[in-house]
Amino acid sequence: MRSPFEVTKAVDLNDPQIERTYVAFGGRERVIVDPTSPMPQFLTGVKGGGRTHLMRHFSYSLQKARGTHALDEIRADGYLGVYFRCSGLNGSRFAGKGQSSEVWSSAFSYYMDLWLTELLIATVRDIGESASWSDDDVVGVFYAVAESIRVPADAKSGGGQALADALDLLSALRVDLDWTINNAAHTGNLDINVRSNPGDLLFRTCQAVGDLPGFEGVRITFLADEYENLGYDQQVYFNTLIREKEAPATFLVGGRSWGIKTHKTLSAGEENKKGSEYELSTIEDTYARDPKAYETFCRDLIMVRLTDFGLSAEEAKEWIGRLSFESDDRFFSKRLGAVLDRYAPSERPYLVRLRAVIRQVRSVTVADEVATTLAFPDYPLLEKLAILRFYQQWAGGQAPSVDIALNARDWVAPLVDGSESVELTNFFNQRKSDAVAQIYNDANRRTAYAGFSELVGMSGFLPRSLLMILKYVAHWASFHGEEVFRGAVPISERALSEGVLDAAKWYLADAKPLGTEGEECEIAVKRLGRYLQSIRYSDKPSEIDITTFSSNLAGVSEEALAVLHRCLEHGLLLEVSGGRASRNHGSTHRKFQLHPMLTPLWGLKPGRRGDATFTTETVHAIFSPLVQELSFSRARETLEIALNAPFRGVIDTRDPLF
Amino acid sequence: MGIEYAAFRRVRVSLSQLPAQHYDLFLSSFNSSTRVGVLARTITATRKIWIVHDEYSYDDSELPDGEVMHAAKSVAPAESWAEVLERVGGLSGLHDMSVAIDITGMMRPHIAMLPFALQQAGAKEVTVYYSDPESYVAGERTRFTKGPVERVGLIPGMEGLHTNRPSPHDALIVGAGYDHGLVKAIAEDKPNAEHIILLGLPSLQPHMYQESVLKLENARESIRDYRPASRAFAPANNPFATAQVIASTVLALGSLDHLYLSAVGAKPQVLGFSWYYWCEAAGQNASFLYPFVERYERDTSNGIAAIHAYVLELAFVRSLERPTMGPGR
Repeated sequence: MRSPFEVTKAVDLNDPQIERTYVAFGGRERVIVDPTSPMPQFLTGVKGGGRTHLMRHFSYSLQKARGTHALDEIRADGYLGVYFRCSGLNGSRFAGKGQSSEVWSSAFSYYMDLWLTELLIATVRDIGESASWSDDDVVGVFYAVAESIRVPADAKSGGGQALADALDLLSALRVDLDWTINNAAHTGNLDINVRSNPGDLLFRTCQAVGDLPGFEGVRITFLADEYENLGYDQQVYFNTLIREKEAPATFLVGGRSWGIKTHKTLSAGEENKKGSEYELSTIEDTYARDPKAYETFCRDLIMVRLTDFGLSAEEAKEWIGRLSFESDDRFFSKRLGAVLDRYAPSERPYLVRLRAVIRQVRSVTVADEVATTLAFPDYPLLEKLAILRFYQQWAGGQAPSVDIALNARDWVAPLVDGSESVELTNFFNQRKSDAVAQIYNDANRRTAYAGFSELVGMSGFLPRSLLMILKYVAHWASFHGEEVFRGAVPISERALSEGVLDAAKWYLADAKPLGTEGEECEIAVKRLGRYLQSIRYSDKPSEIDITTFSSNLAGVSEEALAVLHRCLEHGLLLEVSGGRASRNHGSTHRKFQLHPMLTPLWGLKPGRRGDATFTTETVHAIFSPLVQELSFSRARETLEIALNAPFRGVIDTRDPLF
Repeated sequence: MGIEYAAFRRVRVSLSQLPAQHYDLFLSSFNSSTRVGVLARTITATRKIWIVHDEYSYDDSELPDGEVMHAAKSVAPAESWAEVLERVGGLSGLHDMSVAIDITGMMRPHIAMLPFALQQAGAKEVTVYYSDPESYVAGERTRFTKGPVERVGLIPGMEGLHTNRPSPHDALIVGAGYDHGLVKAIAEDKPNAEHIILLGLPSLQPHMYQESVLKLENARESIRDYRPASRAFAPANNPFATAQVIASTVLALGSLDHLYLSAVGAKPQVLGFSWYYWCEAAGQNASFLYPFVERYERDTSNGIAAIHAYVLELAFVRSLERPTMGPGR
């Protein structure tokens, strides 16, 4: 393997690798979900949160691998994890073919019962290989199966009553169902003899397994992963199992947030209630509740991979440090000096533009004097901040003049010797990130991202996204001939920039939903990104480090709202809990953040700080699939005219953003 | 002992040779490309029928003269073929007919189901035609689909038996073409399976292989263990060689819980996947997976470079016998 970050998905790891790369969040087991809980649990989230990794960690095959005697491990754990992927059922088979949805619903219920029971018995049989159960011990399981499916106990050829015989009975029935379901496409007939009442087979067998020696007090936890692969009616049946469950059975369901289609059941149409029939955890929300623990978790994940790759613990720690920029002064003078190296100090692009725009409204002389006044040749960042201050005053209604320039210069100058006021310190701390990004942009360079904390923040509480970032960064560093996993030289800014950009492109393609809905989401987030980019890279950004907007969504069309909600469900946008009180009349606006993984696509900062209030029209222009590109471009142009010198834009007073 | 796919007959023919062979029935899927129209005009047959797929979005005024049958998108291919073939001659209606079918413009799920449908309709032997394009209208940037993949699913009636294990060993063999979006969608639908990408080599035209590989790169993050060693190759215009390569690949994969086949490349390659499925995999732990798209472009190619004829001997198609039962139904 060329890099410890080549494999980023749990599905690509075998059982020993899952265990080797497993890290408990917060340093404690069962913080996120508890497989011994009698209350069924849903573990949801968008792609890449680590659900499958966690669920496989809880699965029987890894319980077994953690010790020498499977049953001892299960007893110590207090549960048996029966893991399966819902995708393996190929749920799309249970539809169409000239049959009604009721017929398919009944067929699926029966199939699901057979499927789960078969899995359980296959797992128990494996345990039995080392548990030295007698025939008498296991006959109860056989009877539970045989009686549930109304097969005489001696019906099987050979008359055996071992676990293997129970398994044969179930497999034969299921295979026959497979055949019948397939052939319905050719014959139009679905002749199924449903041999057990829904849930009977499964729960009776669970109880019989619970009576096996060594299973006293052990929970049987069905770990149903990739739940989004079940259709609506199929989930209704699974919800019914959850509602009607009988001890010792319980369920831990893993799936994407958008894939939980319903909590309805077949039990008189009742709906399962959160807190009563199930608990629900969203894995990235759990991480988000403790960002420090999340960063430690990520650090541990990376350390495990690096040491597994052959680095010593010390080298691994150093490697994480190599993701930072080289040391610099508080004004990043060395780094920004390098960015602007090809320009003469007086020809720095933002000074050129400043002169040009003042020439338009005043004169060449004033333009030159203003530019000279605002110049700090040794400190590009201060220069940029002084210009920002100048633009702020211009936009506030003062005509551009040398006096304003002098005021702006005097305002930032104390930063040079550290004699600044608290107000100036705040201005500096708040504005420096945007100013640095603008300097890069003015010099036709991509915005730089570096430092482990920033990359962790960019992952948006999705560990896989961090792995993807590191994968691409390592790839680009290697491509540029750097010693990626040896030595102490920082990973180059170029490799970091290219890596995060590739990771952002990957995230957009990976996260968006399938089909037309996905295309609509992609268009919407691209419009949002460009709109926010226009704010960040304007002469007078109306917000600081903008990635977030709020709106009361009043009057927003249904189709635009549908796209917005789909973007949320699929992790292209995040909703900020609590929203924001409206600036005008105290009502609460909903607040949304562009997912941090997407921010490099438009040179935005991954964190959340400023919050732009969007009017109904702006939300509509961005999210409505019915709005043409030209109309959106006009909305963006209006914004740019308002936020850039000479600040002549027609400002829509209904929009507090301006 | 497996099937010797190389023994199946295939021949390259010229336009001038086509009229010499007369068929009782000729079926072709209508679209606007030259190669489809020219072949249909040149072949001699007692009865010629156009199959019109919804995916091309033709309205009635745009349809050609002659007998037309519609293949609705809402109807699964098995049912669609049953409707078409029943109208042609009723049950077993193809028993005594000489039949030719041009798959150049045919929707891939229909090609996937074709051998079984023909066998069910009583055909013993059918000649399948395909015309190579000289080029595609926009090279490797040619778009064959209109709009995104709407869903990925098994083709009804090609769903096979399933096994039930916590960590199954599944494999997905994808016949890839230019459209990396289709490959991506398929790979993402079965992320847990071992992925093998089958590419057309030699391709229909020399430059097309490189173009396919370049396009495939766009789907690399979705393809499990993306590397040259997980690729297989078969001539793009030879369905029987494709079937042979699939058979060898499956053998090399060892014991599998489930085999997923999916073909989104050149039509002869799709036919090869289909032929393997119906000759060896039908009724086993194997399914045919497909990324369904709302619409397809009507005309994506220029000219005719070559015409191929493949003879399907339908006695090789497996029957779908009910598995031996344990406790009774």
